[in-house]
Amino acid sequence: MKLKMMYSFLNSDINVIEEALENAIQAQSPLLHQASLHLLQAGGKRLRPVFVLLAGKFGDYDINKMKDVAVSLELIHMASLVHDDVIDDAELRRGQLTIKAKWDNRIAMYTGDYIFARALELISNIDKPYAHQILSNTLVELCIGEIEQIKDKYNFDQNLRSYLRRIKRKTAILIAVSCQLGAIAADVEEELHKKLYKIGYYIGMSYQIIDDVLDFIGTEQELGKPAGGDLLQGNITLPALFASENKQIHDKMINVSEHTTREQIQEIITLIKNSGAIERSLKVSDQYLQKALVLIDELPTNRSKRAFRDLVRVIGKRRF
Amino acid sequence: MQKLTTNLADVKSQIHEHVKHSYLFKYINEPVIDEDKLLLFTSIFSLYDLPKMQAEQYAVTAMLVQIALDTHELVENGELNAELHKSRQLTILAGTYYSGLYYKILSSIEDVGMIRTLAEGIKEVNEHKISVYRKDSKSIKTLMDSVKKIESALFERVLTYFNSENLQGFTANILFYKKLLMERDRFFKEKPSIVFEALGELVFPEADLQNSSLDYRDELISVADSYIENTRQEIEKLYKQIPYMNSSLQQKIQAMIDYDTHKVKSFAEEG
Repeated sequence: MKLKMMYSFLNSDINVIEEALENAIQAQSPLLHQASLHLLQAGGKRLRPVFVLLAGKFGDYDINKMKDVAVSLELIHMASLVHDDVIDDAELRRGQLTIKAKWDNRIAMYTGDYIFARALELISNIDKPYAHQILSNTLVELCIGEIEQIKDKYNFDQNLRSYLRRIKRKTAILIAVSCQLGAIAADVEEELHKKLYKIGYYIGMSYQIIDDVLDFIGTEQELGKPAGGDLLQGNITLPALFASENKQIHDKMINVSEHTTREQIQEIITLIKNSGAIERSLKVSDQYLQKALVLIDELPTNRSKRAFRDLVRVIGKRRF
Repeated sequence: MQKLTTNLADVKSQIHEHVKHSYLFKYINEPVIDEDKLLLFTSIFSLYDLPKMQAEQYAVTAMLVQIALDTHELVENGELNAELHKSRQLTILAGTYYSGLYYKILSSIEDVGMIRTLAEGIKEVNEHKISVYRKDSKSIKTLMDSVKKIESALFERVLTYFNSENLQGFTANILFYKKLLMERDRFFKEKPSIVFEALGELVFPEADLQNSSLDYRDELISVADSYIENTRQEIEKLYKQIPYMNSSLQQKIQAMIDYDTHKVKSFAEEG
């Protein structure tokens, strides 16, 4: 079953969000609008808005309130992608030219800052200080996570704990907070919005692990960028971490640098794929999904609960 | 603008404390705090009957936003070697980190209104930055208006938030005036100046931008000088309409005006 089928009952509200996203980037500067639109139209799964809406269904759901949260979170995600592409010097994202490649670094910086400001402007419509405290802490954590990632680049002696902390900051907390803020915007009681945070967190952890696995097993066509990019850039993800327990692979891996050729990286990727590290990584991902399922079972029964459960299954099986 | 209710040194040290990050500062410089903008923000926040701590937090967060914008302004185009690339990467993250801090501090004091106000300012600044960078302005006036907005949008939004629109013109002109002097100085010393590049295309649409002939340079400096002089006169006029100004700000503005008078004349004489 496709991802969108899981929450087809939200279709009309998702269309409202899409429209609101387009309105949110209506800049006066034609280029700024064009650059933001370029990114928006490149697609994306809109996971964060979906989680906002799904979580909101456990409370007093009002699409006008949910909209501001959902759009803000997607804009925050978009802004970070624009800047990440400058950080990674990336030419392609989702198979399309990045803003920095289509225009240049400066345009990407201005566009990212503009989108980020729009996100804060919209979220400020939510008059719940607690929601802002959660989100602002998350944004700072996200940034610290990225700084840590740079600090750990080409450090082949990392442990599982530091990897998990990094992906928590990089991906999981924004999905967790999407669930929690959606619930808070719908006046869901504390115990439940904290549970939704945890569900989002577990799903986010699993999602990032699978992303990291796909970087090794996906094709360039599926990924929209060359495979093995993480390792080449010095980002030590779970499959690399597991595979490096093998001394032969570890010894090859520690020589990886920004000067490593495609052929050399391909050889290491093959070793990693044959080492059992992919299967072990997917098992860790699955453990997170199982934890999410346990908590989902405790949610009040409604269509959202079913959608959460189906989403977990689809995310666990996704291969691109 | 009344007596300062906050201590500038205290605010500055709080900013330093917030931005402090040992790993970042191994690879990038500590952010430069624009002292004039800091003085202006603290003067503005002293106008209202705010508790000292709140006035300080407003000044700190407004300056964090300014620092974040200035930090991202350091990100340039082009390929770099590994070490400089790392410094570029951390510059980007540092700017984002400082923006996050502004949001975090204002969230902690539950000030959603000021979060929105500063976000609106960031949005406007970036709109005008793109316009100047892409040389989109159709006339010298619109270019200069954009330059002014880049410098003053944050202040204007804050003043609107406090219903003090009457001070917007004065503040914007001071910041614009300072920016023009700085850009003029860069151009004069043959350093890159985005403002003068954009001005060059408007004054000489057919000219090669690398043209360094005396006529070309003189013409651009003359256009800038006329804006500098008009802005200086505007500041003097508005200055008289402000009932009270704290002595630090008064001295700073007087020094800026005096500095300009001397510079403009000396450049004209050299020309």
